[in-house]
Amino acid sequence: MILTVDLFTISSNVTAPATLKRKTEYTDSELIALFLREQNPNHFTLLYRRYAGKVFAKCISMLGDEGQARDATQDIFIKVTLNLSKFTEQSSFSTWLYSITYNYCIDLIRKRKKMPMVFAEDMSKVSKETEVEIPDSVILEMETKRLEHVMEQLPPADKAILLMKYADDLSIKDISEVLDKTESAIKMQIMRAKHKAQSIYTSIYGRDNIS
Amino acid sequence: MVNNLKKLQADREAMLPPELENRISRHLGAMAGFGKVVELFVPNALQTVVRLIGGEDLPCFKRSQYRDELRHEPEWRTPPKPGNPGVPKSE
Repeated sequence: MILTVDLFTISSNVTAPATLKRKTEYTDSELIALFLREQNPNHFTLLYRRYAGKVFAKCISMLGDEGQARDATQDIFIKVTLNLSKFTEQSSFSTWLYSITYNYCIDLIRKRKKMPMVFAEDMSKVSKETEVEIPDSVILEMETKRLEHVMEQLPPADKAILLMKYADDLSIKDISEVLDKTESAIKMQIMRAKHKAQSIYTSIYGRDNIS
Repeated sequence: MVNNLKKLQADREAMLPPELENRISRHLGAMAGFGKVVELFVPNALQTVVRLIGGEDLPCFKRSQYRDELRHEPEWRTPPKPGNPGVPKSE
C-alpha cells in the first residue's frame, strides 16, 4: 500500500468537519465514514496506526507469544475491516476494537487448550476469602517484571478483565458489554482476579514486598 | 497512583513489528481485488446460465422501456398528427 498520506485535505464530503483539516486530526468516526464512502486504504491506515500498538500489546499479554500476537493482530484488523459497516457507534471505536481483540484472543486460547473460561457461572464456588476487597495498588504497584510473571500465570478471562479495567480504563458497564455479562458479575470477577493475582504473587515471591 | 500494568502495556506496544502494516495492506488489497472480480463476473455468468435454461433476464440485466423505445424505428410514411409543432409542414 502506498503510505504517502497527504497532510491536508479538503473535507467537503465528510459529514462533520467542513474546514481544512489535517488527516491526523480526524476522529475515529470521521475516518470510518470516509473509509466506507471512498474505500480509500489511507483512511484505514490512519486507524491502524492509532490502534495497532494497543491491539498488539493486548495480544501479547493474552497469548504470551510474539509470533501468535502478530498473526492475531493481523486477523483482528482484517476482521475489523470486513465488519466496519456493522459498527453502530453505540460505543466508541476503541471499545469496539478492544472487545473484538479480547474475544478473539479468548476464543483462540479456548480452541488451543480446550479450556473452559471461568466466569460468573462458577461464582458459587468462590470462597468467602475473595469477598474481602483488595486495593488496586496491590496489583498496580507490583514490580513490572514480577507483574508480567503474575499476569502470565493468570487464567485468560481474569487476565482480560484486569487489562480492561486497569490498562484500558474501561468502565464496568463497557466491560460487561464486551464480555456479555452483568455488571455485578464483572465486579465479582475483578475482585476474584485480583485475589488470584495476589495469591500467584505470594506463591512465586513469598511474602516479599509487592512493589 | 503508580500503574505498572499500563507501563507494561506501553512497553509491549513498542514491540509492534513495522512490517505488519504492509502484510495487512497486501491482504486487504488481495481481498478487494477478489471482490471486484466477483462483482464483475458473477452476474454475467449467472445471467448466461439463466438464458441457457430459458429463464427471463435477471432484474439487473433488464433493458429499460426507454431503451426499447429508442430501438423502435419511426414510421416516416405516417403523416404527422395535426398540431404537432415538432414536425415542419412540407410545402
